[in-house]
Amino acid sequence: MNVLELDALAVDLLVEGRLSRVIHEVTLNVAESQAVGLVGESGAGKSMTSRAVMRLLPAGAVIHGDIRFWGRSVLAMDTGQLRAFRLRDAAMIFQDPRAHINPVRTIGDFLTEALLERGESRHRADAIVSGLLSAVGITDAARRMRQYPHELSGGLLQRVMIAAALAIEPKLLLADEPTTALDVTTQSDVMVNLGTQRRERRLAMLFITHDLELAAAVCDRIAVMYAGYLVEDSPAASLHAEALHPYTAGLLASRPSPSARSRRLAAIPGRPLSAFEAGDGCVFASRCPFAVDRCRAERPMLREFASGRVACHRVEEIRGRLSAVASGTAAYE
Amino acid sequence: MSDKAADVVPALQVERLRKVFPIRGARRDAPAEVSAGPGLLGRGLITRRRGTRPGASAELVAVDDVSFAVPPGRSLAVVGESGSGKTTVARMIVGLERPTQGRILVAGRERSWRHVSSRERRRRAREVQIIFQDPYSSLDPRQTVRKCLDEALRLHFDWNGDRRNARVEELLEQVGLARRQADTLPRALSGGQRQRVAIARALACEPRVLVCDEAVASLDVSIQAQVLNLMSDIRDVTGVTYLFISHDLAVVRQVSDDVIVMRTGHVVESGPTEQVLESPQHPYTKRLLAAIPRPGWRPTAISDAAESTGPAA
Repeated sequence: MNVLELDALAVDLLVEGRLSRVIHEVTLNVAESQAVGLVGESGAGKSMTSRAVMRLLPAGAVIHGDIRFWGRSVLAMDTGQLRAFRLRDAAMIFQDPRAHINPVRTIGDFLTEALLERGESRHRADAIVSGLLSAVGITDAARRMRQYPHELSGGLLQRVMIAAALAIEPKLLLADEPTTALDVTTQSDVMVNLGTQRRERRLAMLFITHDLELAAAVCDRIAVMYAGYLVEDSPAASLHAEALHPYTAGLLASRPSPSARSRRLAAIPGRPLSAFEAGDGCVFASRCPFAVDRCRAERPMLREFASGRVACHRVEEIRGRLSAVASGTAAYE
Repeated sequence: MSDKAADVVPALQVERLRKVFPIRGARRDAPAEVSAGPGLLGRGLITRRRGTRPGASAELVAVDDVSFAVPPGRSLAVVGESGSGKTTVARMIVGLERPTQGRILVAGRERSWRHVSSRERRRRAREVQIIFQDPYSSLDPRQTVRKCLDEALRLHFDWNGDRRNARVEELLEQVGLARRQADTLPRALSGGQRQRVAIARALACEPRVLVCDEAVASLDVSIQAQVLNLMSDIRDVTGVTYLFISHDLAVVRQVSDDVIVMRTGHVVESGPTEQVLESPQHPYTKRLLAAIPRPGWRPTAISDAAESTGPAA
């Protein structure tokens, strides 16, 4: 059974008094114990998708389609149900822990707030929280709980954020670039803790990141977004060997490698489009070296292909070339 | 760093560079951890008050005994994580911070003397230019691209308007901006385009040394590749010497010939980039490399225990 189902999710935001669509018909499921990486560049709509799940969109936003948690529509929830959903079922981890943890309350206050709100005793809440802090790799929990956010480093604070998310024993974790602001060694530590906790608790996770390599390493499936559209959804294990969408192949090829210097990086030409800039055809057509007239005229639908789903007219023809591009053995052209 | 370059005057040389920041206003009985921010004391950066500097109760040694030389036309990367002192090194070389000790030489000429004429300061500025990380805050929001480049040219060269205009066109061409973008304000440009403007502005002075402080870190992956390619083209054409400050070893591999790895103000390893990244000797370099996500990578707990849990009070 799927913990989270996005069913033709579309989001309109109020921009200068007009509604403009920033997410287009995203259909995506996350099963129990499964981690799905939602990958894309700035403006692709990945954060907006995760915020839509929590119904944390800006005022005036309109959501189309449906979002279901264990088969129950999140969009149909009334205020009380939504509050319960956020307090018990789904938790979110943000990129910048310093901006999301109250600076004038202690770490202990922050961590126990939701538990006390749920009616746990102070004594029990403290016990749960200090157990969680050790679980995410923070020793001397008692001292940390008396400290304030400014006394902790970014890596520690992000672990506190993860502990806070786990404290409510959610079934669904939405992690929005949780390690982007951290040093690489700290990122590795945080990902270990997050992975262990997720597996032990059979959590479903939507992991939002711009880092395709990181997502491929820690997730089961990768969903790639571009300009508000889902363009590919593939098993993480097969991503490097067989990227299905030209954009995914381009992303893999354009990232430099620490183990080899390429004479020239295979840069995707042009810049990432915003959702409202998309024309009639494929959103990626203007930057795609494989685009033909049909791509510019007719928008490809996301369809089942090989072991995943892809929105590309030409995937059958260019499959072999994409693999060569992604592995760096062919130029991106 | 390479043998054949030993007899050439380095484009950039620093000798025993040291930078100490006093930490003012901290209570003497308070743990330095509280006054100086998290983690610093445990990492050996903070020393308690030793000297007699008024108001300073602790010192932060940001850079300690850093020396290197970059031959003309080569590219050196300084890598390290936050708090390693890499940005402080860059800021001292550009002249935004004053070294506590040590010497900085550009093309054999010392630039760490303090009291100099404005003409000398301009000459120094022309020699070394910097590209900052965030192109959203490094450009004047009310200045068009053309004005921005023209200003740099007017300040440093005694040229007439026509010649400056021609040079602006040439610079735009060189960094891959369209001519119509010359008359736009930064807000009309994307992050990648802004970074191209910052590069053009730096190139306008025809510097010997171009310091790039995380210059591609905030760009989207596809744009990052374009800008990295552009930087390599510029080196081919102008022969400029690069100093790359970066936390990203993949970027470092792509852009640098030599690398120094810094940690808590010290150099822990240095050498040709290929050699350092392929057979790292220092445990810290190994840890940095092991932490990079790549196909088949599994995250492991690799920070040492003292760091992962922060300093003990």
